[in-house]
Amino acid sequence: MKKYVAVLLILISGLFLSACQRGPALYVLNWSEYMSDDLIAQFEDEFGVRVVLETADTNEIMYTKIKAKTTKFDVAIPSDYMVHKLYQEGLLVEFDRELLPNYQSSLFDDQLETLRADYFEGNIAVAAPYFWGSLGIMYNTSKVGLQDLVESHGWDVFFDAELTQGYKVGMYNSSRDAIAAAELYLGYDLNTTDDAKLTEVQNLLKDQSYHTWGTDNLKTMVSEGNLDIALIYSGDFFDILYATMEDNIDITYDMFVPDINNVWFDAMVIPTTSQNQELAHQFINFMLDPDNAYQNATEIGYCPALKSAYQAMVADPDYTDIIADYPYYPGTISQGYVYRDLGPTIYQRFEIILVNAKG
Amino acid sequence: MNQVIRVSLPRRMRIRQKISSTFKWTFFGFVVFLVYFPLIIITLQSVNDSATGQSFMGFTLKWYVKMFENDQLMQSIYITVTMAIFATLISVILGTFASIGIHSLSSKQRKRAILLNNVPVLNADIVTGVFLMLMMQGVSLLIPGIQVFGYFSMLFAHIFFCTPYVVLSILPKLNEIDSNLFDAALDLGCRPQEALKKVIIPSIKAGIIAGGLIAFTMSIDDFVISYMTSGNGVLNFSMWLYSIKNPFRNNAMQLASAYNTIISVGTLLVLIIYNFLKARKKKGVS
Amino acid sequence: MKKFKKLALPYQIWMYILVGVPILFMIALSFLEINGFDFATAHLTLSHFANLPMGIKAFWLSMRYSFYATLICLGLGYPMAYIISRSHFSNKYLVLIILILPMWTNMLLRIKALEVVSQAHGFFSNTFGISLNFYGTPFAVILGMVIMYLPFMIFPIYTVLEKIDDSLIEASQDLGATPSKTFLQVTLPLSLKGVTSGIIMVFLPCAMGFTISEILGGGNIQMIGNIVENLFKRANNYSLGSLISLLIIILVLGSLMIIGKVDAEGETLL
Repeated sequence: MKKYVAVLLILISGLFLSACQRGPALYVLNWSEYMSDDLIAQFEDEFGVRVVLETADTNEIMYTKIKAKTTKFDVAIPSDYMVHKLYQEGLLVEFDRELLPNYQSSLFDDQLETLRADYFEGNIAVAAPYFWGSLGIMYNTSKVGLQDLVESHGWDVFFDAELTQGYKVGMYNSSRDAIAAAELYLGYDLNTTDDAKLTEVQNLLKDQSYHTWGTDNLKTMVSEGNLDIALIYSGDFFDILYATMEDNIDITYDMFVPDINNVWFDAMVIPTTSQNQELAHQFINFMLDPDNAYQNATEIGYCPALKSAYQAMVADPDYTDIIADYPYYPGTISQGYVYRDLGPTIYQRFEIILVNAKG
Repeated sequence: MNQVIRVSLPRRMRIRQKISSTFKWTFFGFVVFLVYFPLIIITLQSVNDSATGQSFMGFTLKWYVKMFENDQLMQSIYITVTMAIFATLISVILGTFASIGIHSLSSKQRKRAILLNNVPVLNADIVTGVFLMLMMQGVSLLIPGIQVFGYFSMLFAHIFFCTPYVVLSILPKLNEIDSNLFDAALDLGCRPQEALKKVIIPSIKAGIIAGGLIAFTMSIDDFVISYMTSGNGVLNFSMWLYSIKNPFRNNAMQLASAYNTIISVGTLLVLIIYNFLKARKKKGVS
Repeated sequence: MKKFKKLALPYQIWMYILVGVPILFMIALSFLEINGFDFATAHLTLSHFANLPMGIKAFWLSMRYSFYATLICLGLGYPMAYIISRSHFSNKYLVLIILILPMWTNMLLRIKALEVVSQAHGFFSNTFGISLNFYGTPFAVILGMVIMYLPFMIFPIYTVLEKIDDSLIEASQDLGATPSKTFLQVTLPLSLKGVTSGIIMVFLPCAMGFTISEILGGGNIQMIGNIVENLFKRANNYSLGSLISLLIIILVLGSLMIIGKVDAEGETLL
């Protein structure tokens, strides 16, 4: 009998040991491949905490994860309209600026600031921009004539089956972005709530048949030649570019950024679920450090929100040419529109449009 | 009349037999190949000496070593294995007593209990996951501030879906044992609990072990239910793999393949050795 | 043994709660306009029923593809089980276990391996020179289902075939029946229980899974499992998700009733 009790006790203590984590942790909700691992390790060393990173493919998934409270996130990095939505629902903590010494005025890029100033009122108090970019059309350069096709037709390539016959087209598996692509093609406002227009968008998307609906795998598939055309976020292209250059593989793809486009910015926020707001602030402050932001930008293909980081990238001999040759800076887009939060009803409707479109 | 035919098979029949035999074994080989096909690819990936993993560039065992350097992977393996062990142990205990209880019920009650037991078995993984997730959300609503989701919520979910399999393994064995054995034990002066421990449980041992094996397999390979009921960054191996969007970046695919190959080769070896020993034991006895 | 009736009680209660309460939750959620789990701000509505057709369409798609996969598994699995049971392997169990070994490896990883094979350019095509290029097609999904679930068909049929008394076969042959007639009139009817078991063990997981269709289907194959997962985990639409899940539950309860009639002691499922 005693033997059984002893074994049982060992097992139970083993159970608790395996379940209990060592030391305090910071829970971060981020996009995939969107933060330098070295930087995270640096933070962990400097502050003596673990960083537990959870990823989400789209803003909608981020929202669901924050709402579900399955993990009590300390920091999240959603996009503009999602920050807006979270703010409206009272799910964000206002920054304590004393805990963010790195958050100086004119820290961020001027054009980005113009965008932000025009945005919803509370955004300065709850969000610290991280990276910004636009949508882009990535395509396979080894296919003859494809570059001309994409550059002359822009958004049409996603909605004109005749045009892209024989090509494999990939669409982004995100309701907001797929709908935006349709709206850009149809010439509608990216923030329209008009029922007739949305129904038209819904039917348009439903009629299309794409080779793949993907997220982060789209950029990889184009680079491998498994897709010919794909809707991506602008930084995806640079992400793959950096990786391909490192591995010394031929670059068989390119990106076209149409001038009428969605411009977005992702920002660090602190959800109200945070159990450790001070640490959350310290993390954001750490990311706002100019050197860290620059280091981050060298690894992540997106354009950094910090003015100094962007200037450092331009000056960096490894990246000067890339930034000059490719559409790296979102500020050059003359007709860039930012998404706004459109309310819960439209939000749900968008999600259903996506599910219907994929069937 | 049969004997006359057996003595000399005409050539045509011999050829026909040979053709059907080759056809049969080709078919057999094809099916085995089909079932093993993904495993072959996985094993190849695990020994592929290529950083990008895009083509085969020679043999290497480096992924088997590098596997241990990847903290996230190791953590997820640790969670998967410990969870499978604990879930199996607890569900075996729970399932054994539940089976004995169900076996003792009247026929009508028993049928109803078995029907209820089979719900998690037949139910879609995703719906079971949704069930548990909703329950847990409900609990977190009732008790604000509690961190429901995490290691224990996943463990709870595993116990929930493993126990029915244990019950399904043990019930038939309970039907087989002679009910008189139990009464005999009581007659000889055993208390019911003693009789339970010394008579019933040993006789259903095969069912308990089988149930435990099935529970372990179900738990260690689970994805959907863990995906729905976990939280706080607790990932099991399947969840970790699912969260990697570009598995050839950071060589996640090669590392995962290495881990997987270790498991399958290890299990195969264990089985072969077990069978070998059993065969030897048989020879030794006879 | 009647003394142990009470042991069943805690388990029963646990099951009733964990099965019953969620179903009630889901019925409630189906009629509510609710944001996640915020019951405070919820209000009654029938609007979710308007989206039911999408669920039904996915439901039929799942049924169709699973039907094809199950048919193929039956076509491959029955002969396989037959060959093994009629063979003269010294240790048939070893053969079976070799067939079930892939089940002990992670299913997600196996599906990902198939994904690599299905791409036009990737590890498989670069190493073996054949570009199979079936990613994102129904074929990919059905092939995935067959490869993953074939052993589940072989096992129950084999178990049942093994139990058939050889003397019955001999008797049938002695009475002058041809081998094919023996099979059709003796072996096959006796093996039906295993066949039913195999069909259920293959059909249900295929119809209700979402990983195979998500990873191999390239987003184009929306089965009912994908829709439910999407609604709960991405769209935060617990209400519509619950409504569609209830559809699935009805199917499951239906199958349980059938099994209950055919085999009350629950032996079929193992």
